[in-house]
Amino acid sequence: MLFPTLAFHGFFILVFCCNWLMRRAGDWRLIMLLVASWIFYGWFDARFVVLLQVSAMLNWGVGRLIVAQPGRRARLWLIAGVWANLLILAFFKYYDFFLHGVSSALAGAGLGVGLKTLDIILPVGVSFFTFQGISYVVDVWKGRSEPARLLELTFLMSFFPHLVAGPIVRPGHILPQLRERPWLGRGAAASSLVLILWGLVKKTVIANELGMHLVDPVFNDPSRHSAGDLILAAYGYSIQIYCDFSAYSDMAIGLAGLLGFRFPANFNQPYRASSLQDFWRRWHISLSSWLRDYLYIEVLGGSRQTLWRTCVALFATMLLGGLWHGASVNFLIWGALHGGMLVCERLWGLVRPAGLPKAPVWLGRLYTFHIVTVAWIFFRAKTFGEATDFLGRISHGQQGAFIALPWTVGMIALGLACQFGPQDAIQQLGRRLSQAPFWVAGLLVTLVLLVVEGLRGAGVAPFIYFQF
Amino acid sequence: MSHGLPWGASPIDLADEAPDEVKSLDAGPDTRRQSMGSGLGWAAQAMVMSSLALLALNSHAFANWADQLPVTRLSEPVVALADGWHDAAGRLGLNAVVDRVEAAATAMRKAPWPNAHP
Repeated sequence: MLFPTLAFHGFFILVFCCNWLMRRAGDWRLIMLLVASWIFYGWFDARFVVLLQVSAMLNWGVGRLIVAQPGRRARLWLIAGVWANLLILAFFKYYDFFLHGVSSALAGAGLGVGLKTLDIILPVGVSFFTFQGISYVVDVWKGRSEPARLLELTFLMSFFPHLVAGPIVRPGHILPQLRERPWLGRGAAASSLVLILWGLVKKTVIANELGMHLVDPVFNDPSRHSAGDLILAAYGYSIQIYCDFSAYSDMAIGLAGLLGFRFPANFNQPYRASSLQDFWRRWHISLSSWLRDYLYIEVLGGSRQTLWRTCVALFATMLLGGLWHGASVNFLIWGALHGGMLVCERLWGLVRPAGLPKAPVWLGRLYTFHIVTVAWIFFRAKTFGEATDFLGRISHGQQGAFIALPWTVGMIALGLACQFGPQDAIQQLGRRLSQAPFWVAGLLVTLVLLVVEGLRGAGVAPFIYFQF
Repeated sequence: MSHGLPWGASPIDLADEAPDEVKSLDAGPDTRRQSMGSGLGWAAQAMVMSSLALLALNSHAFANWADQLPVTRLSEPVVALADGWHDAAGRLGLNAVVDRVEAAATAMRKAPWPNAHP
């Protein structure tokens, strides 16, 4: 079930009514929301629900064992729990990729052993809920989170707004909210509505239009297009993936807000970043902070070690962050590009001559946006060869068709413009909307939805991050 | 209110609704109840209002959704109802907003660059 559909609209209205009618019902409210989340998830494939339940039970069990047996045994349970989560992820996401690699290596060595792949279907959102499972067992071990009851943890991992594409919510952020009576202030409700509407505009208008009319045609057959088209398609993809993914996060935060839950922000105008380090503080914040806390600091030692080891840790974190997106060489290269540039920025910060004037902010922004855009080409292309071929055609100034029209270029401009608006625009709009009577707010919402309905083309493409 | 997520970390947090400020008001817990009541009532009424208006003015979505249902004995009357309502809404001029935006969007999508050769 996709957010921008009529089926989801009906589903959400029903859940909203039940949620608030049951606001004093304690655990029964959570049970209702849990069942609703399973229905939502089962809409993609009912078998995935079982995996979700097994994963939640596994993490709950590990959490209990950690609390029951403190000391060295707790550490062993922690390691077992983290590995169990990683094995689930590895099986569904990387098994076939790994087998293909082994098959090719054996064939290269003259050992033509036929290893059979399983053609495993990737459960939607598996990367997100396994990361939440890992953060739960680590946080319980570290004492950052109280152990949750089975119902609470299953709810935390299954709650439908963030289930399939984040944000990755921390147990310490959500568990206390489950133990309180839900609350909905008028400003919070209005801001939630603004987030949902803005998310719809970004997804169904900007991202879909760019995808259908520029990015997909150009990336699917770059040989037919001119260098101008290729450059605009690369810029277009930068905007498309931002609008697509941040739209999902905005809608997830807004939907959870209307049900009385506060989710953290996941994007903060990332293309206004003036360095790559700054970019990662603004892009997919819940994942980047997860990688920082649980991988870079916890496993790889962070920055409190020798410079050489810090650089290796930084590079490895980004490499694994790339691999998290999927089993593909291109994702590894995407991670390596980001990791390499982050290491360069760190080293430059150390060797930079003291008297050298600081580069203006606009130059930093231009540099960061272009580094990120080049990396996105590897992210979007299917193979390494396709990506290098794409870049080669740009550098050679290839002649060919030019399909970019003012409309699609306008969408790129709109996507870029919203990076430079006021940072609290959502809150400002929310405050204004909350001051309007309900019927005015209702009519405004209707008007925006009607315009979105008219502007969007036929159908709704799935969110890009569903594949991760 | 002891939310684990610090106030201001969520995009739906407005400074004037910060829990500390609510607590410090004379009315105490009642204020929060009042605030919750008005927020919930306001949101629920706005959503009902918007859903009804969409049912009237966006019969496209209803008809599209019905057309995508699997063909069964149960779906037939739903499809007939949705198509009938879409036709009726068209005759009443209720589809005008979506139709006009759609027509404008189609024209804008096709608009060429100035001085472009046809």
